[in-house]
Amino acid sequence: MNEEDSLSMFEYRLSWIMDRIKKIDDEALREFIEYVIKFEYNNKDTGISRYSKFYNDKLDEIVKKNVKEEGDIT
Amino acid sequence: MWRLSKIILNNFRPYRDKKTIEFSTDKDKRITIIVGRNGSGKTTLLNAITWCLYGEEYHIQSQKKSKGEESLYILNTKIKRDLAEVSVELYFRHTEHDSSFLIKRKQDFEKINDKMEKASRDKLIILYKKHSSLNWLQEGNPDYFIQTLLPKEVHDFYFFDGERLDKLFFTKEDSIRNIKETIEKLSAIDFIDNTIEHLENVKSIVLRNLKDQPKSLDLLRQKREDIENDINNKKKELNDVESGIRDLESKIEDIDKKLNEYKETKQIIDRRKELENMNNEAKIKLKELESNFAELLITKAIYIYCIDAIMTLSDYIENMYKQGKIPPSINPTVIEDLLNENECICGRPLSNNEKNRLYNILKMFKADQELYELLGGNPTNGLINTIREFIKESDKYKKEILDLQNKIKQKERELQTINDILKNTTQENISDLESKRIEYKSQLNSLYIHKGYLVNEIDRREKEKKDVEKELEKEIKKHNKYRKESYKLDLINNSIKLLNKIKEERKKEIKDKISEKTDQFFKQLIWKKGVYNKVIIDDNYNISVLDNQGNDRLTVLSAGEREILALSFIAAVRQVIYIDMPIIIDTPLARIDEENRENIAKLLPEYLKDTQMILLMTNTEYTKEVSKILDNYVGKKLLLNFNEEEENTSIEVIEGEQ
Repeated sequence: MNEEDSLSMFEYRLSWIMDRIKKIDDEALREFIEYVIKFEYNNKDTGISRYSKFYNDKLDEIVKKNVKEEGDIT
Repeated sequence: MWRLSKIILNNFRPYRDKKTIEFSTDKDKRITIIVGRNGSGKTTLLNAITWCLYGEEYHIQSQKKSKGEESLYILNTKIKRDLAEVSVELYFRHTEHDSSFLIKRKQDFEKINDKMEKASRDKLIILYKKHSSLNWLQEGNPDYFIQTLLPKEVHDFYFFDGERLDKLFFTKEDSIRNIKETIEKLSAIDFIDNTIEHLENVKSIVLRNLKDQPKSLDLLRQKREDIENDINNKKKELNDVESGIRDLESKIEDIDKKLNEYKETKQIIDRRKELENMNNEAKIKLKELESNFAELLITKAIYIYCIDAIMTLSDYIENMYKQGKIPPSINPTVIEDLLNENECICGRPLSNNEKNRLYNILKMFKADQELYELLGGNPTNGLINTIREFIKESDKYKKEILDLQNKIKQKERELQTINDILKNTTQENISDLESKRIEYKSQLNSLYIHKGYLVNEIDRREKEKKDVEKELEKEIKKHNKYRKESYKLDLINNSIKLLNKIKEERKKEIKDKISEKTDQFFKQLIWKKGVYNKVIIDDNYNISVLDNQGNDRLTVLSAGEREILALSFIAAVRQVIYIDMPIIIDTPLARIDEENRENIAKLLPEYLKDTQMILLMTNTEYTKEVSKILDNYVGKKLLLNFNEEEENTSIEVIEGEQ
């Protein structure tokens, strides 16, 4: 069946949210929230038990890109 | 557009055996009327559709439910055979392109103890075909397919009964609650709320990581810098002191050379040199002894503090030995044997409680025995021996230190005598030289002491610096972790804030859209043109039907007008949902008086143009007048006849193709 024949209401609602998220200027915030929404969407029917781990991993990844470490004692 | 072309019911409640109902899919005659008395199976048809799609019957009348009149199972109650199947099939086809799909849900039953019971879980199958293909293909994820076709949470905007239309805006409170629920459903609020809840949980984990705040790195860095400066200053000072020492030592050496040139003093000068060397060596030895003695005191002095307790324990253990309590007098192998044979000494089998108690006793004995073997007798003996050795060793140190101190003192006295002789000699040159020597020596001693102080201070400050650096390294790690966790917290907080904002924006957008569309539909549908000026839904989900004077007429609307308002609202919602599916209304006119009934009948064909409509009506609803009004739009008319004795509903086509 063609997707356009049965546009999912959920996907329609989600696409509205995603469009709104795309407008976020802060790159890190946009990346994180996009990940979270997609994760929630992909797991909405299966029950999400390990989301903390996945979210934390994603946060670590974003932190790595954006937070410079203090490395010197002087 | 998708049209429901037919439904096949098999043993579903009163639809005994296989029953097919075909619906009108004609573009112009898009209404199908199904007429039947109360109890003939109209609402069951609505339930069959929701059961087929979602596995649930949503329209079981609450009175029937509470009286327990509604059968628990969907199987027709007259069917009593070993195996039976209940199924509902919905056939859809597209008006523009040649695509079709069918949704089938089936449930097997089997006879158990003369009762028909479910044999397994119900099964959902979806088949589809496109572009004139003869073969049906099976959809791999039927639940997902249904969710994309018409999500469960919005089905009641497509399949509903007249009661819903009547109650949607029955009171102010009903209307606020229903509008709020609808808008939240359509705004994916549940999805956003779940996401926020998950983010809040992750936030609490991050907050736990942020509990331990790192110290200020600037303060620690400043402390380290201060120590480093102090060390450098002291090293510089030490250099100066060492240079002063070298200078004084060289001056004293010069004086000693000169004094050596005098025959009368040469001998005592040599002796003095010898005594000074001996004393220097003795002082080094003394320092070493004192250091070793201090070490001994640090490591062993603790025993002295505990000596009373150790002695008491020793006496106690000795007493236990004498009384025969240590080692244990019972051989644990006796208990082991009882447990192995699972029998008491009286021959009775052991209960579980008794076995547990015996296991515990055995464990206790074994522990006692292991401890006894480990300690090899009275453990305090070893401690007492250690104390004795300590006392012996410390006495030895004390004696050696005292002897050495005495020797040093003795040599210092001799040195003093030599110094006095040289100082008081009548020979002026010797006396001057000696006076200078004494002065240099005194300065040298002061410098030695100062040098010692500086070396110790530098050493202490170096250690302090290392400690600060270690702390700094630890704090940098902590600080980095803290910064990362703070960054994460900000990200989570901002995400939550944003999602809440999105939620509100979305709700407002949907509310505004529904408000605008409801107003538009209501004004199109209402027969009293010019009376009502505007329908508004405000930010608190309050719906107002304003007349030309600006008065809210919601609570004084007639049942018919209220139904028009509900239909307008549902039409507005459907536009927001953006899914085109047929509308099925059960008893749409049942609660409406005769005059309004005709008015609504007139506008029903106008309602949601191009949408397929299936109206389930009683004989009293579907009057001649109503039939006359609707006829131009009706493509098919069916009559349901229920035979109570056989519990069987038959379908008769009154109008349209068979």
